[in-house]
Amino acid sequence: MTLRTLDDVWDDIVATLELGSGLRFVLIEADSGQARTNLRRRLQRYLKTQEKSLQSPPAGTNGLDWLSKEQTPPGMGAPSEETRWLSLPGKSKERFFLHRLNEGRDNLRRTLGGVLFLIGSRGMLQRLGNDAPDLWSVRELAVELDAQGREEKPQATAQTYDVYLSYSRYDASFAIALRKQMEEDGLRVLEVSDDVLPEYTFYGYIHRFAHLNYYIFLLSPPYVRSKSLANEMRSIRFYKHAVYPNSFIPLMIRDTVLPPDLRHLAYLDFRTPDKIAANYPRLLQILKSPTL
Amino acid sequence: MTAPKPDDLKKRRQQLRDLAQALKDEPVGPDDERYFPFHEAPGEPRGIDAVHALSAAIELEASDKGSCQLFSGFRGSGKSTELRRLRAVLIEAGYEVILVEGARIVNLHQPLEPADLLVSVAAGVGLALQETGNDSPAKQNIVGRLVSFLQNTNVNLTQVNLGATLDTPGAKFDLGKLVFEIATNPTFKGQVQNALRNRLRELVEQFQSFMDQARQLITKKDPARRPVLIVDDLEKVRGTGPEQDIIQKGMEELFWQFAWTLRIPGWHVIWTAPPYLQLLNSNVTNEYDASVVLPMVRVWENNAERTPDSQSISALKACLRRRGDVDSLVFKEELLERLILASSGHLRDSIALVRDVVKKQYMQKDPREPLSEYLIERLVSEYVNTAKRPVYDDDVPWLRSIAEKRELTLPNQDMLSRVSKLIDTAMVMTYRNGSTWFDVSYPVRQKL
Repeated sequence: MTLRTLDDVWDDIVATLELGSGLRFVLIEADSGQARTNLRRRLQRYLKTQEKSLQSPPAGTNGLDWLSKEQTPPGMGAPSEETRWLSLPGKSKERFFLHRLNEGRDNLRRTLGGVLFLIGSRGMLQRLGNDAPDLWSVRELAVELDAQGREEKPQATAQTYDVYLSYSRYDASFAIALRKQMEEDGLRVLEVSDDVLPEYTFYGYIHRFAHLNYYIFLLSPPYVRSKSLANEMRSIRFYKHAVYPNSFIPLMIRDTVLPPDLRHLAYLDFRTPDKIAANYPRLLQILKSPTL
Repeated sequence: MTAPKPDDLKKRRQQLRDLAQALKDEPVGPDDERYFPFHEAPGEPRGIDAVHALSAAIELEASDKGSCQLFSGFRGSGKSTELRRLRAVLIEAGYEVILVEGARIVNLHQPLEPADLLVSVAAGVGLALQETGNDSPAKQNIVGRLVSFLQNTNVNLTQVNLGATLDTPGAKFDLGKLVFEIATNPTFKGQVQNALRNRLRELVEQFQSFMDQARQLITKKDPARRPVLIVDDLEKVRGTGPEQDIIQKGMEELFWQFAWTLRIPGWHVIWTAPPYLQLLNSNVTNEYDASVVLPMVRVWENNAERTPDSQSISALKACLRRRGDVDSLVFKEELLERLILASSGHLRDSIALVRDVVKKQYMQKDPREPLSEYLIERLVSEYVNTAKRPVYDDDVPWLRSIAEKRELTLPNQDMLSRVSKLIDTAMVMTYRNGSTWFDVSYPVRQKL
C-alpha cells in the first residue's frame, strides 16, 4: 500500500467528516507517534473551527468500555454525531480488541453516530481486514500514513522521475497512454493534469530538479487556454527558459496555436497515429539523452 | 471563463451532501426509490433471479408438508435487499411470512448448535407474532405455549430472572428478555446447549409442536394462507481468531448433519447460510428442497480477456443512478464504467466507490467540475491498494488458480478456514450465466 502524507489524505478526511450520516469508520495505520500526533492536532484544529471537539477515552480507560459508554441505547434518541479517536492497543491485545469491535459492529452502527477514527500500528489494515471482516467491509476510509507524518506538500524527488508530463484533464486518455508507453520504455514519469496539484508544484519542481529532467507539454486547445499552462510558462520565463532550453518538449496532440513562450522550440507532431509512430522513437531518443 | 458565483458553489455542495446521503450503506426494500431490480434488467446481470428461485420452490410445493431451503449471499452483495423483496413477493402471492432477524436472536460470534438455534427461533417467532398488531388473546396464548415449550425442554430460566414468571398465574412473560439473553448471554446460551444436547429428538418434537401451534394461530383466519419462515443473518455466524474453526465446523454440522432439525412440517422455511457451505460442500445442498447463492453482478465475461459485460455494466449504472445524479460526478460516462469494473460487480463496493467520487468532488475548489480520468484512476488505485490488503502472500497460489481456472477448489481440508475467509471477504467472487463460475476480485487480480 502506498504511504500517504497527511496533506495528501486531509481532503478525504474532511469530506468524510462533512458528508454522510450514521457511524463512519476511518482506519488509520500510522507507525510513528509523530504521524499520529500531527493528525490528531490537525483534527482538533479543524473541529474547533466547527465548534466541535475530538472525543477520546481518558488515560487508563479501556477503549471498549469507553465506546460502550458513548453509545446511545435504542429508544433514547438519535445517536450523537461526534468525532471519536480510539487508538488500538498493542499487538498482543489488538486481536482481541478487533474481535470484540467486529462483533459489536452492527450494534455500534445503531447506537453511535459521527466518525470513529481507529488508529493502529504497522500492518493494522491487513490484520483488521482478517480479524474484523465485518467492520472492514463497511470502512469509510482506510489510510496508511507515512512514517514521518509530514505535513508539507508532497514533492517529487530527482531520484523518482525522469520526465514531467503536463496536460489538460481533457486529454487524460492520451496522457495516460503516453505515460504507460514511456514507463514500459524505462522512464519514470511524473504525470500532472491541470486539476491535480497546486499551481506552484511546477514552480517547486522546476526550481529544484530542472537540471536533471525533461518537461513534456501536451499541446491542445484546452491546455493552451488553461491556467496551469500560464503558471508553468511564468515559471519557465523566470527560472529556466534561458538556462535549459532543451529540457522543454512540446508535443502537439491537437491543432492549436503555440504558446508564445514555446514558439522558439520545435514541437513534435503527435496529432495522428502515423505521426505518433514516426515521432515517438525520436521523443524516446531525446528523453534518454542527457539534457544540455 | 467567469468565476463561479459563491451561491452556485454552495448549491452544488449541498447537492453533493444529499447524494452522499443517498449513497449511504444500508439495505433498501423493493418499495424504496433507490431499489434497482437486477432481475428485470436485460442480460440477467446476476444470472439468476434468486427471489424467483426461492418463491418458485415454495409455490410448486402443493402439499401441506412444507419445504426447506438455503439462501446464501456474500457480504454487501444485496442479500438483505433481496430477502425484503422475497417477503413482499410471498405476501403478494398469499403467504403469511415471518422474517426473523438472526442477529437479534442468536449470538453471531459463538458456536451455534441445533438445540439453541431452535430455542432462539421459537422465541423469535413468538416475538414476531407478539409484535404484529393487536394483542389478541390468541397471540397472548402463543407466549404461554412458548413458556410451556421451554418448561418441557427443562431450560432453566431462573438464572436470567425469567423463571419466576413461569409459575405465577397472570404474570407477563418477558419474551424480549428471553431473546436478549439467548443472543447476548454466553453463559445462559451455554447452559441451554448443555441442557438440550443429549435430548435433541425430544427438543425437535417440542419445537415442531410449538411451531404447529404458531402455524394454526397465524392461519386461523384464512387456512389457505400457508406460513413461511425466513431466518436471516445466519450467514454472519462466524468466529474470529482461534474460535473460527470451531464455529465453522459447527455451522457445517448444523446445516448438513442436522439438516433434518431445520425442517418444520407445515412451514416453508428459508435459512440463510454462509456461502462457503454451499460452494465447498455440495453434499449440503442435497439435504434441501432448493439452495440458492446470490451471485455478484457479472461485470465481465468468463473468458481469458474478461471482456466487460455491457448489459451488466449498464444495469449497475442504472442502479447507481437510482441514488442520484452520478453522471455529474465524472467527466465522461466511461469513467463510471471504470469504477464499476474496479468494484468487480460487488454492490456495496460500487456504491462506496461512487461515494468516494462524491467526496473528491466536494473538496474541489469548484465542486461543479466533474472528475477527470486522472483523478478517477488515482481513486481506483487507492481503492485497489486498500481492498487487497487482507490477502497474505501465502494466499496467492490458490487465488491464482481461481483466476486461471475460474473454478473453486479446496486443495485440502486444512485450508478450509482460510478459503472460507477469502470467500467471505469477497476476495473471490461468484458469478453466474448459465452455470456458476468464480474469479478473483479486481483488486486481488492486481496483486497476482
